[in-house]
Amino acid sequence: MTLITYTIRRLIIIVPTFFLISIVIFTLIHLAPGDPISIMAANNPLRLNQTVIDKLRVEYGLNEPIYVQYLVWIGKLFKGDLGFSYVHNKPVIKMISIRVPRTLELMIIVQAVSLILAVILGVVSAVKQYSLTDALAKVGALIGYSAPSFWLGLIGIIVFAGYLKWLPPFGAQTGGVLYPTIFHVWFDHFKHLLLPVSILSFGWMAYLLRLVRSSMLEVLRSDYILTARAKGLSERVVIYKHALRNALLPVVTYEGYAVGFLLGGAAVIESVFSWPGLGQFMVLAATGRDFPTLMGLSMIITLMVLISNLIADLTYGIIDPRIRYD
Amino acid sequence: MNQTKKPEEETEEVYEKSTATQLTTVWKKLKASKLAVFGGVIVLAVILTAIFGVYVTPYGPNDLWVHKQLTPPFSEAILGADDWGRDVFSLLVLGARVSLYVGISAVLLEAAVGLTIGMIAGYFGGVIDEILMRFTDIVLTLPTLMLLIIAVSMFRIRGLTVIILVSGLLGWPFLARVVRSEFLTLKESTFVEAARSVGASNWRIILRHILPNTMSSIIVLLTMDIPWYIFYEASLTFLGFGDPTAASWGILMERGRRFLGTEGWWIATFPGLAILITSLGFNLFGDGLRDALDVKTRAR
Repeated sequence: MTLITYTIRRLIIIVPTFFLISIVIFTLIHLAPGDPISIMAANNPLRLNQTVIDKLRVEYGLNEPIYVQYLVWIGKLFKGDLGFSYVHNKPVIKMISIRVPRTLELMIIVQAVSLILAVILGVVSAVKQYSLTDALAKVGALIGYSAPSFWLGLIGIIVFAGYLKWLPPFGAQTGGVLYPTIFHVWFDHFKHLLLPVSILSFGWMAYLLRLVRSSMLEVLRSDYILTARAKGLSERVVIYKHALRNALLPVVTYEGYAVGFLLGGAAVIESVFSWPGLGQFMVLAATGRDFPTLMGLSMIITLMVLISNLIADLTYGIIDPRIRYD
Repeated sequence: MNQTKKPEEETEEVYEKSTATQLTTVWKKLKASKLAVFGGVIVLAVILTAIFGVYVTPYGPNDLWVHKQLTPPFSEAILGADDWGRDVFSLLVLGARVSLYVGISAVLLEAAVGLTIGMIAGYFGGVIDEILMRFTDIVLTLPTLMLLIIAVSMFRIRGLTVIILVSGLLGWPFLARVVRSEFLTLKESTFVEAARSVGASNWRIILRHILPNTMSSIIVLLTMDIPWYIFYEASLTFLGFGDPTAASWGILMERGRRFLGTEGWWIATFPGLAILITSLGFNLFGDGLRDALDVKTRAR
């Protein structure tokens, strides 16, 4: 099987998943009481009378059967039209597109930081089982996955922003300040990133660390490692070249499935820190019952999750020594 | 945790043991692990608080102004008072019931769905297995918190039931996979063949013969899933989508968020600590159970 057919096979699985999720989200939102027009009418300063509301309903196709509405919606979705938010009076795609980079940046940094730390700490604590490092890593991981991240966020704000005044508590950029150079702007942004990134990475690293450690311990006991050692390979080669590669497989699988979970955690953290990303926007849209925005956001987030799954699948294929594409 | 076994422990399990002796062995192993005992004590304490807490707390969630507004902790109010003068300690005790109720209900729902799908897929195999597992894969990738937010906000029912239903109905895929893989191996064993040869029906074999053998992994998984549901409930409530009438830890944190500065740090801090300790308890106990029951399921 070549890499291309493998990719195509994974892509074929993604398509029905995408449609299934879109149907679930569409029905869920349309089952809810109150349609977009009533929200629009509620937000309109001019009192709209019933005839106008009915006319608008026809105009927006809300009197059509639900499957017709779904098809129209999904058709527009593929043309990049995510609908129009009556609450914000802006096209949904416009508001989402400025927030995507913020969430992506958070996700990518958190993934990188936690993966690197988890692998290093996981390998060390597996190789030196029952050592002090192992014990510390274990305790750290235990706290990391037992503590609610939003609570850690609040504590972080109290300590580092409130008490010590080292870091800014909210947002992605200090408003109303003119910086002399672009580097100052970056530094300011970096300071805003520090708290949310540390807290998300801490929790995420805890899960990965557990996984790396236990799978590393398992791999280190296997026969092929004994063979590698018997061949007289150095311990470094045995651990990093032979053992780690196999030990990472469950981590990659987990990463693929867990992106949705990480995005959920990010939504909470984004809200805590008022980080202008997709998660915080989703919470706002849900609070304001902004249907089109909510649907558009859900589909974008679903797409992000599916793409991450694909990446994880392909990575798995690349690092698994047993899978050969040719 | 404690994945390495001493060789003598491995050979010990070759012969069959009666249920009673098995339980004694498990109990001995559990007792031997300090962390597991610690976790077990926490779990027990949380359960007792949830059951009997209502009867012993000095104040209820509706007892306003029993203290001065924002009384600091470690004074006349042991853990302080919130902005309505309510006793934070009493609210924490009452919150245990909400959290545990959510955690256990959702886990039971997860068990119902996950077991059914895992058992059917693993036992019958073939096309059924293929379809059910693809479906499981899809549900596994769903962003739970996102769907929870949509469901709760759309239906305007700010209730625990919606949270339990949605999170439980989305939380089963991992369990289903584990149960399926155990069924795949166990259905080939001789005791299943024997049961079949005396004419036992498929469902009898599934429920009476194979299922009891998968109980260890199921119990371990479910124990460690309880904190997840507690997290979901707390996160949602914290974001403002919770049940405003339930005296939950999440709602206390949401209220306390406004007083984070200096005037009321304790309102949000203590409920978070309560969640941390509860989840720590379940995780430690689950880890201990896994080692004691010798389950090979990997950490999730």
